Amino acid sequence: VTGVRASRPGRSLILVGVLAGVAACQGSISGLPGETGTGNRGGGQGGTGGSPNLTVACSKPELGTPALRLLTRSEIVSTLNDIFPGVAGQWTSTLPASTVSAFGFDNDGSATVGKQFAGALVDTAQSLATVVTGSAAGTFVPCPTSSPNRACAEQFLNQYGKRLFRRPLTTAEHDRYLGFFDASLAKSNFTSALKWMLIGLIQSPNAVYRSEIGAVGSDHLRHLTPYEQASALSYQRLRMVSPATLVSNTGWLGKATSRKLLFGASNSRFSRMKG
Amino acid sequence: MLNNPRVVRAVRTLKRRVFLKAIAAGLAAPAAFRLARSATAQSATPPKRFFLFYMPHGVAPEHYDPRVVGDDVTNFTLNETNVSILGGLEPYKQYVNVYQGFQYPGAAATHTGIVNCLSGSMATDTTTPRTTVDQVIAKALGVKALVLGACSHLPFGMDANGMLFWDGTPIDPQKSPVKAADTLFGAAPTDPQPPVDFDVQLRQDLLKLTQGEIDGLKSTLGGLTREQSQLATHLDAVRSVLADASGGPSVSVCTGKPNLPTVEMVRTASAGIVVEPSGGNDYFYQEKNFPILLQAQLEVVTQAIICNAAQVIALMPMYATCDFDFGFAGTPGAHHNGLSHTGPQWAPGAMYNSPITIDNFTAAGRAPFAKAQRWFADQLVNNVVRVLATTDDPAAPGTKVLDNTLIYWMSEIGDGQNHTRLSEVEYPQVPTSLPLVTIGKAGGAMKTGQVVRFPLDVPEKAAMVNRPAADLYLTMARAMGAANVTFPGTTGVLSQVLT
Repeated sequence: VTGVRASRPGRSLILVGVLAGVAACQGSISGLPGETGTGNRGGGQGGTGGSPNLTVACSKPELGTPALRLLTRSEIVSTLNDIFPGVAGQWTSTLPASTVSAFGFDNDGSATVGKQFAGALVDTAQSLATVVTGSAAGTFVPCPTSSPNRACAEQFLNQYGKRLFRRPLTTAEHDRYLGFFDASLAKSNFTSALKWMLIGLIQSPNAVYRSEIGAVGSDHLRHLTPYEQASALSYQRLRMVSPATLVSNTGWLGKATSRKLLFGASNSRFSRMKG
Repeated sequence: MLNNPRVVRAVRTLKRRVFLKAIAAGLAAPAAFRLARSATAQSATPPKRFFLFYMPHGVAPEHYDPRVVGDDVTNFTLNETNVSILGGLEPYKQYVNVYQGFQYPGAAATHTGIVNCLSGSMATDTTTPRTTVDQVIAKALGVKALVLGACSHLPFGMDANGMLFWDGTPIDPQKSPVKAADTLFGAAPTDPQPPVDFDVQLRQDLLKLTQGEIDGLKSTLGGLTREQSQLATHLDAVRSVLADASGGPSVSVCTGKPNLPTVEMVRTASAGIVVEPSGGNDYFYQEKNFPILLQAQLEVVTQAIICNAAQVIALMPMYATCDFDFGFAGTPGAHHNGLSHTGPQWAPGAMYNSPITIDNFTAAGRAPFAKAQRWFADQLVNNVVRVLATTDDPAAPGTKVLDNTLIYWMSEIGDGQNHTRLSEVEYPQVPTSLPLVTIGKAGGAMKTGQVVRFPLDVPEKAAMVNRPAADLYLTMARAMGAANVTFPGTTGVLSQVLT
């Protein structure tokens, strides 16, 4: 089994036992709150409480399926606080409540970005980026605001892009964001251009989804990349991006180290999924 | 008239004020100009406002149904049905329509139909895209709907019981009346030459970049249809946000900030507390604060309607299955499992072949539940209807605001105990309809002061004779001026309702 229902709804799915990527063995949960009664005449207590009945329909672990896992509201807030320490309370999250699935989890793979979420994400990113590139620029911007330059913006991009994407930016991504900075600078000023570049990074799909896509290997199975593994372990444990044990400013720990940190032993099944 | 120098000056002032507020609200200059022009054009065609008010857990028909004299559906009383949930509307019944014989098509267990009851969709899952009537009307009018809530979902997140309003995906209502009021009525800029705002243009540029980024990521996921679909939804959402910049919010045309005493009480009580919908159980989720939060939200709604600061508003007080104790309303008990699940008591002598009447249930059996539901209705009447019915419309001299407003009051089920989604004849011979009510004339587009009746039947046959609620949504949309919208499952407008 890949997960158990939390003790109360709204908790994140915590993988236990054998971590076979993501959802693997199919099971069923019945007796959830409000389930009794069917049809147009429920005819009874919608009800709350009671113990759900857990049924697992397989006898051995199975490989999971690839997924783009949208970060929950609290994961996003924790992530941003983690990447930009010291400015908590100076910016505001307007992100809507995370949706809670019928099984009581708020981080299952079906969560999507709707219009409200997308709009609030830009607003939230703008709130944070205004602080980071404004009152807290001395902490986060790697050059004096009195002498800004393109190299400074590029350094900022590389430093915080990697943390927000939880992997280094590809060359195409690097060029795209720096190009956006250049175009924005032509229309505004250094601070505004840097701010909107940061907003772009924060609301990027590469930041708000935790990738469990992997890459197809010679065995025709998908394998999580080391970065995906590190992210999975980090978020499953702490719901944030970079606990000091997994990520440092200088790089990422390898999968073997990550695995050892979490399990104390190797578990190769963790990194494999259906092709 | 427009040659009068005072009028010309006033029009210029209004245009400038609306333009500046629109710029402050983040609109691009062309949209702000358009809004400013429309603000001064309103004297010719008063703006119509739409307000959707939800009430959880249905009703007890023996305390709800209007008393109709004979077969004359325009001759009825609202305050002679035991507790009379609709009794507060009696003085305003010339503005009221009560709808009977409607259904929410498709099966749904108990309250789970809250996820589809306002859209016409029959999907009971929480992922299939659907759009609720408030959003459909707002889009058609080119405005952004204001969606408010008072304890509208559980403190740790929004499960299905809080998913009433949809715009493709579920909408999490704004739960702070303070935030809502500040957004609507924030201080107007006084600088006639506001500084150049790079943010407006760069936001547009960035959203286009993000669109490309999502599209690019999507193209790399060949064969992973679920993830591609996920990103397609994301892409649509970003496109909508981008499009919003040319539509944008309504802007208050009132001079200054309206008096909002209950909102200010909430501001004081919640000072320093930000809504935390991820498990904080903060001020905005606590049961003891629910009554004042609802009243404050209704205060915002009323002033937003008067000032046309929000042309389309939806409000969700509590979530489905919420068990707040209604002792504060003089009827103690958990609202869902306690009050709404109280079974009806059959009147002495009532049988399967008795004449069909709500009097086949005794009044005493569900009076406590009915008092709780009347509390909701009274909040709507006292905080909104009464004010709008007596306030001159600043945008249309000679009319009251309620003349130009359409309020829709509804619940996700009919009978609270039986969880009906149909209008039917319950045993023993008690007619029960979904509680659907409109209040207001929508600028003269609605024929009001009537009970709009369609057939009921026994539960097994009711679905074949009831009208879908989507027909009412279509009718309300038409009344609001949204001529070309559609809803799933409609069979046509209600011709007896439209002028």
